[in-house]
Amino acid sequence: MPSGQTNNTQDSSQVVADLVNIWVQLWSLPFKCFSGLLGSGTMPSQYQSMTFDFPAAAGLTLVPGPLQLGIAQLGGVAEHLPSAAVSCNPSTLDATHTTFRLVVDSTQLQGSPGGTYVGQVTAQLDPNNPQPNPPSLPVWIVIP
Amino acid sequence: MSELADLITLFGAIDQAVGSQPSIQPTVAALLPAYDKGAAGWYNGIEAWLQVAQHGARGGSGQGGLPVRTIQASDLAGALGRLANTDPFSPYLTTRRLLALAVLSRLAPASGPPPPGLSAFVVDDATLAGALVPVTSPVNAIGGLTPQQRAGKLLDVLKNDKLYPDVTAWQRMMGVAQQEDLVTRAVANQPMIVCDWTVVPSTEAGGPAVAFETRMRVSGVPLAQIELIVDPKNWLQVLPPWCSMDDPTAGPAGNVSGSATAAAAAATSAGANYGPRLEVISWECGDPAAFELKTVLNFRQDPLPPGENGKVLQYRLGDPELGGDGFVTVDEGSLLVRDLGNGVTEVITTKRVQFSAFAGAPRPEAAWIAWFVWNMGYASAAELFIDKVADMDNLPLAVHVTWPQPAQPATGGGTNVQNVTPGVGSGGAASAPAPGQSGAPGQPGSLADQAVAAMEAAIQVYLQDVSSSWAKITSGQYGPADYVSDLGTLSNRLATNSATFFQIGGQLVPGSSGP
Repeated sequence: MPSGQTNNTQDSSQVVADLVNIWVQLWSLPFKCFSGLLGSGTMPSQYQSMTFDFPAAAGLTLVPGPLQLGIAQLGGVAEHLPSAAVSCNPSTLDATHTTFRLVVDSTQLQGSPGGTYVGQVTAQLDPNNPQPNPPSLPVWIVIP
Repeated sequence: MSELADLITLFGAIDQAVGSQPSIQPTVAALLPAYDKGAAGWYNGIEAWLQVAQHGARGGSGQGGLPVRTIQASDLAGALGRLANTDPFSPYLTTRRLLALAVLSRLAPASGPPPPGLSAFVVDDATLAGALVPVTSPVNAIGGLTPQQRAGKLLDVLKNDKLYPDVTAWQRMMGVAQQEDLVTRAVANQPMIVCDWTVVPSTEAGGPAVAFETRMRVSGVPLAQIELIVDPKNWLQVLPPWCSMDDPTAGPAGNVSGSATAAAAAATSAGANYGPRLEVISWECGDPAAFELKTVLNFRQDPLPPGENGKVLQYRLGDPELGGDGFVTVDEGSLLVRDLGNGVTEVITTKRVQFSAFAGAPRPEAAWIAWFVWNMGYASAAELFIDKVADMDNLPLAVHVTWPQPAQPATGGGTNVQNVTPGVGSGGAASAPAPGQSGAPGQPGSLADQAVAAMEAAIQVYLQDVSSSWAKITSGQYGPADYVSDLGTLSNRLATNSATFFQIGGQLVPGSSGP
């Protein structure tokens, strides 16, 4: 094949790729505008805490306890995050990986106020049959 | 007017310029990436809210309420004139001034008169440079340049969209300006980053709120000094916007209201109690004509949980009967300071706010608040706040601030008109053929020319199609029905234009005959 033909083929491929790219970008523009209009913001739907080190939990399952907001509402009622919204990542630790983060699913926060929530994570052999006085670790997470 | 108010006028003018002439959106978005994410129209939203706040009626153009006060050319000229005689309050505000002027300096077309709607916002170089004079005024002029000449040089740097096409080149641009002694090191080191925000769809007050979060790491400052920020009375170091943080339960002779004390005690049954405080916010402290927000907040300070060295200050709305004006219906969050070791301190700030005028608003309207704050540089403002409250300016130590979260990409994938317009955008998806590469008919170079021409025509048609929608977007009236309608219109365009593209593409098939 003559070298000129090879170049033409490559150029043609590039033109086709460019055309496809242009077309995709053009059509994604209104979607993008609309996405911005929805006010989706710049944050992910899951909030993560800092990394906590919990060596005593090696080989155990992490169970997040109630996470309470440090400042109560008027009248003195202190809110907790819904337990279904809170999890640990990873949920189990081993001897070589002893760190985890709290993860909060923002879609399950129905009216929970923003602020810093504090509580404890315990380590259980079987979360369905919790043992008394399990290893525990103080934790906290900032909810915007 | 204060420097802050004048800067808001500049950013508002930019927003209205985008609304008047959508074709400049890529130019503006290059330096203000919020416009690549749907920010256009925020100023009208904020202005409408101010109308509600000040007059108690729903505003907004075309909604039968109070008219939105649009920024006229005279408003822009007035703000620039005042800034020409206003020394910047801080490196943060200097950077916001530079950013706004950089955008304004790039609005003028390369040749010819400004397009319709844009002329009110295209400012001559002399006026723009005038607003830069206080920024560049040196103690000792280097090279014998006058302040006006230095300002002109700085404007040339800001205008250079070839060397500094977008916000990712900001630090490099400021580095050059500093090397030429046009800005201070403190200004050059100002981070050009964005905060993270989200719209919280449901709050305890009902309706959506906007939440902001910043994270920064500071070294060179003792932890105890940074912890000054978790005492709200120290916030008055940042004036404006904080005008006062008085205890509303204390009478003139120091008397304390019994019911208020009980409420405060209930709100803070343990931990250090700083509340309640009547927070007065304005960008014109002391000016009786200026709009201000009065919000009663309860505060509580606690040490971090065991294992952490630091403190957290939490705050939330207090009893509004203690002097609040009711404009704010959600105001809560925390300031957290913790020791990371090795002399590094992490500061995490969150703020969730809902204004009564937006209490029942859909998410897009709530997002106006976020875009306003985003454009004004909330993260940089947070750094200014910490800088002032912790008195870091006067530290003998070298202070270093880093932001662990990376800045948002400037263009988010490049799906803006500039990037898809061959020969107009920088680094666009399709490159116009270089000189000498146009080729003979039927050759790829020629086909590229045809594709470019077809694409340009398609984009022009597309812009015409969506121009009315853009007007709705900027006035906050664009909804799902409009979008569906736009999709229908664009589908028809697709059917028409696709034939052209297939015809061009067909010439690439070996053996096919060209048109």
